[in-house]
Amino acid sequence: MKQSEDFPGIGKKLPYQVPNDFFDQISAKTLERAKQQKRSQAKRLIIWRSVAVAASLAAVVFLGFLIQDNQKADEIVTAQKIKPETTIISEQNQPIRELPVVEPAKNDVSEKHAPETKSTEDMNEVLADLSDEELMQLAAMYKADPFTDETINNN
Amino acid sequence: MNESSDALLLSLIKDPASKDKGFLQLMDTYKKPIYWHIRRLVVSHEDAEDILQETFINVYRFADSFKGESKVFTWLYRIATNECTKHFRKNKNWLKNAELITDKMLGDISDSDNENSEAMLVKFQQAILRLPEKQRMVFNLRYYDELSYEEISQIMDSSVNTLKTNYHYASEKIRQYLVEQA
Repeated sequence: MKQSEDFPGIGKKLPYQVPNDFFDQISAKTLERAKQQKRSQAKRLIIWRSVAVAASLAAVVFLGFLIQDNQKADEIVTAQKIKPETTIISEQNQPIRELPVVEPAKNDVSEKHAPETKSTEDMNEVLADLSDEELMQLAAMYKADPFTDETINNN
Repeated sequence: MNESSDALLLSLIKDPASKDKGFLQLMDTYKKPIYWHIRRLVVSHEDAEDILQETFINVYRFADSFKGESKVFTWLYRIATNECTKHFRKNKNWLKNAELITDKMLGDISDSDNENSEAMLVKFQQAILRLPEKQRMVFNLRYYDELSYEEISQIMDSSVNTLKTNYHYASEKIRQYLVEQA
């Protein structure tokens, strides 16, 4: 049984009108629109992919800067921590004593110890110029020196 | 259109070299039944034209996804029906606009021998417009397109028994409305 028989007198006719040539043109018109949408979609895809790549690169560069900054900060903190430690260590220990500086004698004895070619009178003059302390030092040096001849000292 | 012709058309569309040619042939074959299916649901010609184009643009874009599990016309009707549903969701005033169109059509019917029959056609459409969305779709597919309940089931993803019930209630409501308007 045809469904149109459910409503006799009405059938399948519709009261709607369609513009002339509508069906003649709609296929080509739709194909053009479909291709245009495909082109737009391809452009949007390229743009979005470029944006995604750029955003990824920016994120990588930003992270790189962050890591670099953190490393520098760590180095600074580490350096600051080490410096007070060295100060503390040096403060804990007694300061290193300075070695006594032996001032050179006013009269350089080595110069006084001239070669034997100098006359005895010159030597006596030199010895006469020495102070008592200097003579005592000189005597101590002679005693300590293993290479001196006792006979000279006896003279 | 037999299945072998449909398969040939789809193979043309899926081949990039013959896609446009296959698309035009497919559209020329199915544009009228799909257009009138849409027009009966949305009433406005401009809306029907937009939805018809969207339907076939989807076919152009997603032809590769059609696996051949249903007939081509079932697939096309399904896309068109879904596009109509989207249209109803997006345009909340579509029914008001459709009623304005049919009221105007009633007002435009001139004195002629066909006045009563023309008016009856318009009132018949007004009665269908008052149906719930699903009943309206089922009624149109069964009454105008004379599709089987199995085919309608593939289009609307609903059981055959539910569709039979929908059609029965739709018919009753239409008759009641026509009696009231008489």
